[in-house]
Amino acid sequence: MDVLAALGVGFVHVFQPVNLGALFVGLVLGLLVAVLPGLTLVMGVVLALPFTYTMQVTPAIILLTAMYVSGTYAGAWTSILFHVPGEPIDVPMLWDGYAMARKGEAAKALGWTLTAALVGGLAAATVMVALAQPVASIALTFSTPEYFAIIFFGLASVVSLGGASLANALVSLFAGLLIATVGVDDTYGAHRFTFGVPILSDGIDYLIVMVGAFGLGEVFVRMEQRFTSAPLESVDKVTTRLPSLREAGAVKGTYARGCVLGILLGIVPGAGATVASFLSYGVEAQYGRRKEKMGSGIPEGIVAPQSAATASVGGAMIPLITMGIPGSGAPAIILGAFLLHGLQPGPQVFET
Amino acid sequence: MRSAFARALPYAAVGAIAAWLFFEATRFEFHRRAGTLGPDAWPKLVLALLVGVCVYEIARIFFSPRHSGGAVGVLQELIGQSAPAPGEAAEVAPPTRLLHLAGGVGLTALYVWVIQRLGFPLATAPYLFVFIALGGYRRWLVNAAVSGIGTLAMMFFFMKVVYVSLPIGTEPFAQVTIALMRLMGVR
Repeated sequence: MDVLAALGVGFVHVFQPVNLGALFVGLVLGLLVAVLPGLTLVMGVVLALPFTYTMQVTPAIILLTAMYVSGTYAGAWTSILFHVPGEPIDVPMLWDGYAMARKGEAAKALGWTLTAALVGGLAAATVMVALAQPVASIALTFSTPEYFAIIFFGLASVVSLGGASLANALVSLFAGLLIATVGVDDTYGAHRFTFGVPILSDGIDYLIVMVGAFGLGEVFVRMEQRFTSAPLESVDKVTTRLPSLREAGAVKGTYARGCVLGILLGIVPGAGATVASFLSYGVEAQYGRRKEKMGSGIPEGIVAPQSAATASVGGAMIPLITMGIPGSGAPAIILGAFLLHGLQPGPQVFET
Repeated sequence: MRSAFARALPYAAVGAIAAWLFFEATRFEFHRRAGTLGPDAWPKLVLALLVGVCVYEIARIFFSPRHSGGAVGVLQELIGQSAPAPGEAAEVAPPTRLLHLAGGVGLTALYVWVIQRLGFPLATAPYLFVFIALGGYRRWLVNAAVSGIGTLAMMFFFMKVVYVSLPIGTEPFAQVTIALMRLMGVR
């Protein structure tokens, strides 16, 4: 009952003009960064972060989360229409989304994408609302050993699941841990790796590391690749055509599988929307009712990756809000926004 | 063999830095208490593991070159197996420019070093100009305009709108920053 009451209060807050404005701006910005070549979703969230400095915490979090959600959706447009994925999340859209567009059904493909994002987002939000408080209640009973175990599990899964090179993943992990040790030690007052630089005595702020790793890191990667982007050709006017209820009902199993996979993979640290999108497509190709037709431009090939990608957002928010553990890039920046506004996500969030 | 050296070089560099930091960690000044871990324990453990990973990777590059890609993440491997690419031509990776990348990283390190001395505007505008040029954009007038206007816009946004203090710099460069702040109405 408390959850429903809190949800009601949340709805009231969202419909306040400032928050509604932040939601709208966040959705539009998320769509833009996902579509524009050279801008990734995480980089977009990083770029939007300074604009939230003067905001209240509620619209700031709404803006960044809205960007995160809509960013998982809009990249599919360029995959379907131009055969150019806006984000790695959208690569599976090339296989059935583009194939459907080539059959002259681009509007329908966009419609399937929209409904998949809608269903995935709603399902994940429902699960997040339902689970956040119970998980936080359990987390409140945690002590140091439990937190150590959770952090250890999180770091281990990031390394084992995420990286294309285990050595690089481990180097990143240890570099991150090392950065956390810089500054004056709380217990002994010893200066660790400060090298006589006063500013380092306070340690290196989490947000600075995030912006450096995800913002500047992305720029360096693009620089290494000569800032090249695939050219986009113009297409005729395309409008989104939603599937009928009967058509949507025919693939309800795909919606359900995509949502479940997306939420679960969103919760797992290191997995995130891209892995959810690929795996959901793979599961559909292996176990789906029309698995032999996957890749030929069927709705299942669009619904599976899109619903999973968007559902992963809600999944990722569960460990972020209840334990303060971000599972991937965008939640890490959103965690930074929480900290920036003086809020420490974790089980105590529901107590305050 | 030359390519093996090139692949091993980053790990050698990281390993060497980690070894140096390990040495630094042995010189932390504190009063050790019996029965407790000191403030040097975790950094030393992390650095030792980091050196270990680098040594392992270098050894793997030279002694097991066929096992080239390293251990692929579990889910990434599953993705590779499960995601078909019907009718897809293999993606051609764009050519990489390691020298430009190194230049960009070096330039950024230099920027961090000079910004406290030159102040935000005098350090940022040239940094943006050179960075954009290094990225391959060679329309100098546009480049200069973007760098200059971009710097002033950021300065205005951070100092006037969101009240984030930026480095003013040391004399005589601080006078330029202060003059710009006056022009923008920043007190």
